[in-house]
Amino acid sequence: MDTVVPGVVAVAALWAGRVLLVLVVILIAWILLLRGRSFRRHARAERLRVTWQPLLAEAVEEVPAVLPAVDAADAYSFLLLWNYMQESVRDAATERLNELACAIGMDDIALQRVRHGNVQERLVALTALGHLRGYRAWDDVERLTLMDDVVLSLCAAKALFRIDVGRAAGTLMPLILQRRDWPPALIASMLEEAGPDAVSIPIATAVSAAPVQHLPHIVRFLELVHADVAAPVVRRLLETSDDANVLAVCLRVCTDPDDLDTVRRLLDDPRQPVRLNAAITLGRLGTDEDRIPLTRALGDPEWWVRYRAARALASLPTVDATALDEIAHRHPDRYARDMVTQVIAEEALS
Amino acid sequence: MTQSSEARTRTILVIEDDQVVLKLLDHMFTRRGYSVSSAADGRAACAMIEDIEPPGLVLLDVMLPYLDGFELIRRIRERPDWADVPIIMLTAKAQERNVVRALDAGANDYVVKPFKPEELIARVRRFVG
Repeated sequence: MDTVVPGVVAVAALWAGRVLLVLVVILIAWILLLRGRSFRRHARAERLRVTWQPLLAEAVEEVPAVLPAVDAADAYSFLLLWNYMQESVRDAATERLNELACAIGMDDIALQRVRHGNVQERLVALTALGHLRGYRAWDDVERLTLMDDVVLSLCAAKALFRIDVGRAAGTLMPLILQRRDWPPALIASMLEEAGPDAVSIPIATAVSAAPVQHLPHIVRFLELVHADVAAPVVRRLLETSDDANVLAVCLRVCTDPDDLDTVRRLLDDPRQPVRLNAAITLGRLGTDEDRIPLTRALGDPEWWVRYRAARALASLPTVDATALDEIAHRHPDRYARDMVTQVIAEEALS
Repeated sequence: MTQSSEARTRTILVIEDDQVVLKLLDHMFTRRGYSVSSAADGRAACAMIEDIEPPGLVLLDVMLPYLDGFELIRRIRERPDWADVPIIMLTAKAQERNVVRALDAGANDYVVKPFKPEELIARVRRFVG
């Protein structure tokens, strides 16, 4: 019995060792295969870069008469390089790069990749179609804006804006309202790139029509709208909204002196963000009439409101250094005196 | 103008860390008969400034590894033999506030990226015709 058990264990250990050895050999072979593929892929991309970088540099000024063909397997690397070049130049140079891409059939390949490629290929192809202003790709690109993948859907939205900014603004505004997974900073960047001429009316319309629960999400984009288009929307929201974030944004965007009475009223709002932005706005639009409320706001319990009230006072056209100095010495509130002294010092440094 | 000083005015030092843009600029100026030398970061640029003759023009990116463009302008202007070398800054569109800072620091002109090649060439020609 003592010799049988050790014998079984020894055989089991031997077989376990053999199996493990085989697995390790397979793993090593797999790693070597992957490394080999990666190396060949990089070498291929480098060969493409060496060929095409000078040609793209030349095309920025004049499209070469003779262009080599690009293998389908190299399309991804080519589009990556081409996109990079597109984003380094502008105006006529980008048109020449578009001419080059179309001459070698890259517009068709980009469309194919958007339809059938993997995520990486789709991202590169979407960017390329945006630069190419590939109108015939509109439906395929629009479909991708509805995908769950945030990066892909945003990239598709950006491409639509580049293809046709006016049409994209109308198409995408309802989506922007719905897609809470799209980071607001990226949406703002996309709308900013599209330009206020294209997005002002769609944004103002969307904000005007937005249900109350959606307003805090979309109102921030009013900052990208032409002032005259935003003004009526801002006025209505300043008078009717009770949401602190909505009011804060509207105050930031407010440029119409006719809204001053509302802004002054909001300087006494119980919520800090509202009082803060009211003080900032009074600094921008206020008159001598605002000296007294702003001086009173120097005694606000919140530091930032006091600071902004002091800066606003310093910005009033009728408040000069002497007047500020007097407040710094005479205000009954010690914190108010400190704040005005700080702002005087900041003004002296700037 | 002597032959060597004429040759010097046709040299451009490009300081840019973006390899694609660097190659593009090299191509654009070389095909127009300029002699282009380059550095890809602030540290390499400082070493070059110590070693080479002042070029006809410096084309300098604002955002560089190790030393930014503003610091490089200061170091260029500190050297008596480089004090009069024209400097054109390349500044990203999102950082146009850097334009004022660049001009105050001693740059002669600026170009915003992404740039128009024709515009860049015209601005360079003003200094190194």
